[in-house]
Amino acid sequence: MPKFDKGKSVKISEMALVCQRQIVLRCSWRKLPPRISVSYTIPQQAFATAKKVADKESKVPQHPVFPSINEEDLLPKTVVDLKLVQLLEKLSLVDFANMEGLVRLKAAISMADKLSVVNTEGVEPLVTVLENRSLTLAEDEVRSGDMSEELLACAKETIEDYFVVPPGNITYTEQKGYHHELENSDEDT
Amino acid sequence: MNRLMGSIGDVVSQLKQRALSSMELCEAALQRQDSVARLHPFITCTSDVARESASLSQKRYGSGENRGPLDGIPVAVKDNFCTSGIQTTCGSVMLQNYVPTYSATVVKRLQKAGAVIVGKTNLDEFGMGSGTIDSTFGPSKNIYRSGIKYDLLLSNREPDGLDSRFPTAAVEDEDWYVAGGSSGGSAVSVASGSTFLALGSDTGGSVRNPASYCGVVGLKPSYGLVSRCGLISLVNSMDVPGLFGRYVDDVAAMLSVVSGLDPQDATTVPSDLQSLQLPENPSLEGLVIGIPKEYHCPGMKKEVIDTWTKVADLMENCGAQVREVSLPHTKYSIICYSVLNPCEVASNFTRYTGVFYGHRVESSHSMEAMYALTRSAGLNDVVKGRILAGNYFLLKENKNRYFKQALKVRRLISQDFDKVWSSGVDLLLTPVTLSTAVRYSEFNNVDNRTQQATQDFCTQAANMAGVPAVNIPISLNTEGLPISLQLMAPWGQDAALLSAAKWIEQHVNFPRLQVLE
Repeated sequence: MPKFDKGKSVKISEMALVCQRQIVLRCSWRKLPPRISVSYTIPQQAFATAKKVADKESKVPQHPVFPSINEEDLLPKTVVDLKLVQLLEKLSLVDFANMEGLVRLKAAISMADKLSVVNTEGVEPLVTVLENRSLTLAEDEVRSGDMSEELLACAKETIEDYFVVPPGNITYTEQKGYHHELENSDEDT
Repeated sequence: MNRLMGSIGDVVSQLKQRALSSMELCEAALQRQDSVARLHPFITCTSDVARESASLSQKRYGSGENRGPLDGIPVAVKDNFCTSGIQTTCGSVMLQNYVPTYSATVVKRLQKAGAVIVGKTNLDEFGMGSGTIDSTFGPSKNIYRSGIKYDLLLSNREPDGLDSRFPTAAVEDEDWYVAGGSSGGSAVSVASGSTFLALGSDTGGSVRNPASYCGVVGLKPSYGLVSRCGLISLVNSMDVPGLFGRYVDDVAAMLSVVSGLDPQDATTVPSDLQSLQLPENPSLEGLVIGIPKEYHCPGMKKEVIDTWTKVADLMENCGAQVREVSLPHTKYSIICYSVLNPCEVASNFTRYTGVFYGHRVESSHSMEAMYALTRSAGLNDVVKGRILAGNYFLLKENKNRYFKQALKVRRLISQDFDKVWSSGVDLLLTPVTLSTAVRYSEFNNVDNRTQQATQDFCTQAANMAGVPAVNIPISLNTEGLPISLQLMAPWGQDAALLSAAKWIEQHVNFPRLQVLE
């Protein structure tokens, strides 16, 4: 198996000609440093274009590119107060407007705030990556039906053909009382 | 069990020649599922359905007809795809008792092609996570160094070619390596040989991340090529059904079966992938491979960089043109995702009320109370946190600053890719994860959000732009864990992407894991 020395030009005729379909690197490829001196067998079709790359630097950056976001450019932090929490809970109905929920929310906002440094003047929002394509809408035809039994079977509370829900005109959040706890607790921003 | 090791091409030949029967194959797969049960790749084992499908497949082979490359092949389905009559939980208490009345389009297509569905796999709850440790049903564990006995073979075509360079024994202190997420169960199912193929879903890297950690091929197709009908929504504008397999050819076969326009999903587009056939010996001739410099981010392990370097150099030596490129808005991708994901989640998850399906906590006096208690009990903290955050970003006074801004940044990220493709680059080669699989003890020290933010760095942008991306296992490190790389291509170029992936697969000879039973 011919080896290629760095810095030395290689004659095509020195490369081993093997009638294989694939290029096969012998076992040592894992131990190769970024600058490679390679021994390999070359298929006939790649013969004409085979290049020696041994001397070039790898195209892969060997040092990290640091994604710095200048904190000073950020807009002032939002204050997450009780009123905000009540509003969010009303919209979310997840019973998570407690201390832990708040901590998570603040962390999420803190991360999202970093977006404000990006200059998006004149940039249109991208809602879907398919915006330039014509998408097919389904025909307005009934394709399935008569499944009321199967569908009702999915629900826990049903009466006859009805899904059952408690009365809907009572706001939950005001009754909870944990907002009172939040007000009194020691919050750190 | 050599029959579970091969590519589906090999297996289908054997099935055609009657050297192997579909029932035998099905039993072998179910048996393997049992042997690796403690890795917990599956939430539900669908052995009855599987045996029925296998029996029908066997009859077909008997009468000389077969439905194509997937006929009789055991496959797994991530548990956020609806399967009619089979519980579909999304790894959550909320849907623990949910049995869909319909099947996802991709599931129907797999069944029509004769695939044998052996189980529903584990996932981070509702697809939110990058470790598959946030599932109600417990974590899924990586098969590597798990205590399950396995050999590493240099090539499954040479069974004597044992690779003894790498440790395979369990790690100490009963620790284990995470499978990655959120489609960890599917990745482990394929890596362990329980199935040849698996369905996953990829919204921020949820197929490529576990594929990287578990050493299997993981494809995120172009957005719009594979139907999302029946895939329980996370982020409608980014979700894509993803495919796992041990060979690129196998994944290509699966793609040809599941892709294509679906009248029930208005975000699908027509494609000609149904007749996808990868070249037997793909070539790099004339290809320009881009190396985006920003993907070498702080915290990336040296062994990943070395692998990236070697493969890039290898491709250059073998006829491709390799050049450094820049995707300047990469650093904003995770932040952008951290806004867009919760916004869509807040909207999508309003459906979970306990009224029509799913978990329900009784509260007789008010509907809102019932909703709040149900949702609180049914959804875990990660999910609840995202709903709250999403509603915050969508408030009238915040919409421009967060939601609209994120949508604009998304366009900038997408334009980064467009500029690179226009400059003549055909494919991008990047790492997938910052390291090999992380130990559970380490992984669990960091909260879900931070974990995702770190590990999704290289995978997230492809979902922003909707471009296809594939994870290819390259080698093992000194701990015996897989190191993988990612290829990305312009939207719609999935065939070219898989061709190049196949080239890499053929040239790196990744040691193949064979479970010993």
